[in-house]
Amino acid sequence: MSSNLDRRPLSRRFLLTATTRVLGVAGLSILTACGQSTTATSGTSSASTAAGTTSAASSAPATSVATTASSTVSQTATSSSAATSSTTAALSAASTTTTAANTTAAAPSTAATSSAASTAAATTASAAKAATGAPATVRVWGFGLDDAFAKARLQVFQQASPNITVKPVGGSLNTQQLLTAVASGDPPEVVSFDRTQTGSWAGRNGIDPIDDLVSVSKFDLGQFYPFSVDQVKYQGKLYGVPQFVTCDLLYINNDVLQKAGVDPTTVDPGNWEQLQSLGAKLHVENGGKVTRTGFDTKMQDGRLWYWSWANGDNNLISADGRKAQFTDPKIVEALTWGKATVDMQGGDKARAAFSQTQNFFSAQNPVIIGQIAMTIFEQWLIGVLSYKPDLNFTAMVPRKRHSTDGLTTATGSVFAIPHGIKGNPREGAWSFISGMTSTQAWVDGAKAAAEKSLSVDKKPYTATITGNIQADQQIWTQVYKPISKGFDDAVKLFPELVKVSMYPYSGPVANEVSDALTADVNDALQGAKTPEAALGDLNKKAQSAIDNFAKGPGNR
Amino acid sequence: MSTPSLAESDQRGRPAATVAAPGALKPTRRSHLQREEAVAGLVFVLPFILGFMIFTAGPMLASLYLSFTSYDVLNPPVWVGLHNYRQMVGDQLWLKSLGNTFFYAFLHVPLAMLTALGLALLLNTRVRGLSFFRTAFYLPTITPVVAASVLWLRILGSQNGLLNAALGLLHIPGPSWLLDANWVKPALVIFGIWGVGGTMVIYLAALQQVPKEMHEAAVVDGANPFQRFVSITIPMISGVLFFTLVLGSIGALQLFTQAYIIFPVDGSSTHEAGPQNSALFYVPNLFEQAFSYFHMGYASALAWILFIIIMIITLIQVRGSRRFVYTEASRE
Repeated sequence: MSSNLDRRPLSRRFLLTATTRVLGVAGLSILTACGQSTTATSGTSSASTAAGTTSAASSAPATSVATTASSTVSQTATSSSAATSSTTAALSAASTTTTAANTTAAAPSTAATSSAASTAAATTASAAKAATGAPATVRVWGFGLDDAFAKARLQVFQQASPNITVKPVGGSLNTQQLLTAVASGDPPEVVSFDRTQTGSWAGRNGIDPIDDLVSVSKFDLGQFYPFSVDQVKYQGKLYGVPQFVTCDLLYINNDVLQKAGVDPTTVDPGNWEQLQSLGAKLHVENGGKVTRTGFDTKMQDGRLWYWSWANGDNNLISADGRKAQFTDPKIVEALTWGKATVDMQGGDKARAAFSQTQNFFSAQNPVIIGQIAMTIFEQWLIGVLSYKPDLNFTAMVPRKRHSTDGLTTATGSVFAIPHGIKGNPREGAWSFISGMTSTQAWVDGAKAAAEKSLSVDKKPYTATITGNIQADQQIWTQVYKPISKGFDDAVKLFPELVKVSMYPYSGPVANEVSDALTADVNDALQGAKTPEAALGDLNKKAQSAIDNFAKGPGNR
Repeated sequence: MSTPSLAESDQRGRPAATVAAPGALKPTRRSHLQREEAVAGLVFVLPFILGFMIFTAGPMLASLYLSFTSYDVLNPPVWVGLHNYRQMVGDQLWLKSLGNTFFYAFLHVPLAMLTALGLALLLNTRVRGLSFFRTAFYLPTITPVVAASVLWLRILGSQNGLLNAALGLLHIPGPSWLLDANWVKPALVIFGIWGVGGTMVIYLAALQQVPKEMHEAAVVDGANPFQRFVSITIPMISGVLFFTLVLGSIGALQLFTQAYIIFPVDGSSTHEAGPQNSALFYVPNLFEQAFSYFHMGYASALAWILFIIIMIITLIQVRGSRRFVYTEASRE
C-alpha cells in the first residue's frame, strides 16, 4: 500500500512527460532537419530520462565528447589495430594514421645541418620583433598547452614576448567549432591540426597564406625539414609552420625471431617475399584464433601510400592532386601482396579480432610481449616500448622494394592562422607560431618532457622528432639519454628517417579520400572485394571527390 | 477513469478559469476577459514561440535553402537547384547508410518494446527487492552513452569479449560481433536493448494505472492471466505503447552516438564505419558529409530527406494508431 503511495507521484510525472513528449514528437522530427541536432535522441532509452528532460539538446557538446572518447576507445576498437590517439596526443603529433592522403612525394630531403646558424639568427630576430610588438591576445585551438613539453615551449615564447597573452583551448581540433568560428568572423588567432588537413582548410579559404609574415620577419623556413614545409603548402603558397614529425619504422621483436630460429639481422625491409614468408612463419594460430601476428603491413591503417611508393614510386594521387591513379598495376600488385601476407597469417578478420584483445598503451603492448613479431608503425611506438627499457628489439628504416634505399611515410601537425585574422592579432599569432617552433623552445620542451617522463611516468625519455632540424639534433644527441641497444639504435635512425620521408596526399579532399581508402582497402583485405575491384571503386570515389571540389564554391 | 488519483489530478490540473462556467458571465465582460486571457496566454508561450522561431524554424528554413546550394560553410553558398537531391540517388554511402538505418530500426524498435514490456510486467509483480531490480534495469539509461559504448566494446570483443565468453559456457561459438559485416547491426541492437530502462519505467507507470477492478471482474468471469493480459492490459496501455513506438522509431532512425563511438568515421582516423560500412548510419554519414567533407549543402539535403522519411513513418504510425490505440472516447 505504501509502495503504491510512493509510486503515484512518479507515475504521474511520467504521464506528464509522456504528454509533453507526444507533443514534442513533431518538434523532434523537425530538429532532425537541422542536421545539427543529431546526437540528441539516441534511441528510446535516452529519449525518456527520469527527470523528463528533453534529450534533444544541442549536439555540439555531445559530439565533442564522442570525438574525445573515440581516442580512448581506439585501443580496443574495431578492425584497425590499436594505434592512434592518446600517445599521439601526448606527442601532439596528430592522428597517426596517415591514411589520409598522399601525394606530393617529398623528395628525399637533403636538409639537415645546413641551416643551423641561420636558424639561431632567425629565432633571435623574430623574438626581438615580437617583444617590440603591440600587446595582443592569441587564442590557440587544437593544441594543448598543459603537458610538460608544451608548457616549457610556451615559457620560452612568453619570456621573449611578455606582451602576448596566450589562451589555449586544448585537445584535438573540433572541426565543427572551427567552421562555425571562421564563418561567423571570429576565429581563434592560431589553429593546429594534422598536416594532411592543410589542403582541406587552405583550399576553402579557412586559413590564410603566411608568405608575407615569413618574408617581413625574415623567418628561415630552412630550419624545418623540406618535406614538412612542402606539406603545408597549397597551390604554391605557404599556409603554416610544421611542428612534430610522425613517421614509420619497421619494428622487430628479436626474442620472437630468435626463438623461431630466424636471425633478426637478416631481415630486409625491401624484400617483400621475405617479409611475407616471415609473417607466415612467425604467426601463431590456436584453434582458429591468432595468438601472434607474424608481420603486420598496417595496410588496414592507411599504409597503402607507403607500399605503393615502395613498389616503384607509384603515387595513389598525382603530384598535382588532380588525378586519382589507384588502378596502376603496381598498386594492385602491392594490395594483392598485402592481402596474401595477412591471409597466410589467418586472415585479416582474425588479425583484427586478435588486436581487439591487445592492451596497446601499456607494458603489455603487443610488440613488447611478442604478440606481434614484426610491424610497420610510427616512431612514437618507441615511447610505449620504453615500458620495458631492456626490450630486445630492432627498429629499421622501411625501404623501397628490391632496394636498400630507405623510404617512410611522414606527417605531423601544423600551426596555421585562420582566415579573418588581421592586423595586430595576426602579428601576435605569428609571434606565437615562430616562437613556439624556435630551436630553444623545442629543446627546452624536450628537456621538460624528459624530466617529467623520468619523475612522473617512471619511464626513460625517448626522443621526439620536432620538425626543427637544429632542435632535433640537440634533442637526439643531448636530451636523449641512452637506454639500451634497441632504443639507442632506433634513435640513431632518426636522421636517416627524416631524409627519406614522404607525406601522403594532403589536398582539399583528403578526408574523403582517406575514408574511401580505408573502406575499400579493408574490403579487399577481408575478401569482400578483389584488390582490382576495390582499387577500381576507390579510384572512382577519389576522382569524383577531386572533380566535385574543382566545381565547388571553395575552388579559387 | 475511476482511480481516485487520476480524478484528483484532473481537477487540480485544470485551471480555475476554464472550470468556471462561461455562460454565467455577461457577453461583454466575457469577451474582455477572453481577450485578457488570450494576451496573457500569448505572453506565457512567447518564450517558446520565440525560441522555436529563432532556434528551430529559422535554422530549418536556412537548411532548406542550403539544401539547394553547394556550400562548404567557409564560402558563400552557390545555388545548384536539385543537384544535391539528385546526387543522392547514385551515392553508395547514402544508400548504404539508409539501408543500415532501416535494418537497425526495424530490428531494434520491436525488440526494445518487447523487452521493456516484459521487464515492466515482471517488475509489476510483488517480488522481493523490487526497488533494487527497478534501479538495476534503469541504471543503463542514466549511464552516459560514451561510457556505455566503451563498456560494450569490451562485451562484444570476438576473442575475449564477455558476451562470447558467456556463449562459450553454453558451447555456442560466438560470432565476431564487431568485425563481421553480418553481425555488426545485431550487436548494436543488443547494445540498444540494454538501455530500455526508460521505456520500461514508462510501461511500468502505465501498468500501474490499469484499473484493478477490471482484472477482478475478469477473474470472476473466469478469464485466465493470458486472456486478461491480451484483453485488458494491452488495450489499457496501448496509448503508451504507441507513444514509445513513435519515439523509439524516431530515435532509432537518428542513431548516432553509439555508432559514432564504436565505429568512428572521423576523417582524422582510419577506422571505417564497421566492416564494409555495415555500421554506417544515416546521421553519422550526414555529420561526416557536413563536418569532415565540408559538404554542408549536401548534408542539408540529407537532413531534409531524413525529416521527410521520419514524417512519413510517423504519419503511418498515427494512422495505424486509430485502429490499435484504445482511448477513453472509443470505450464509450
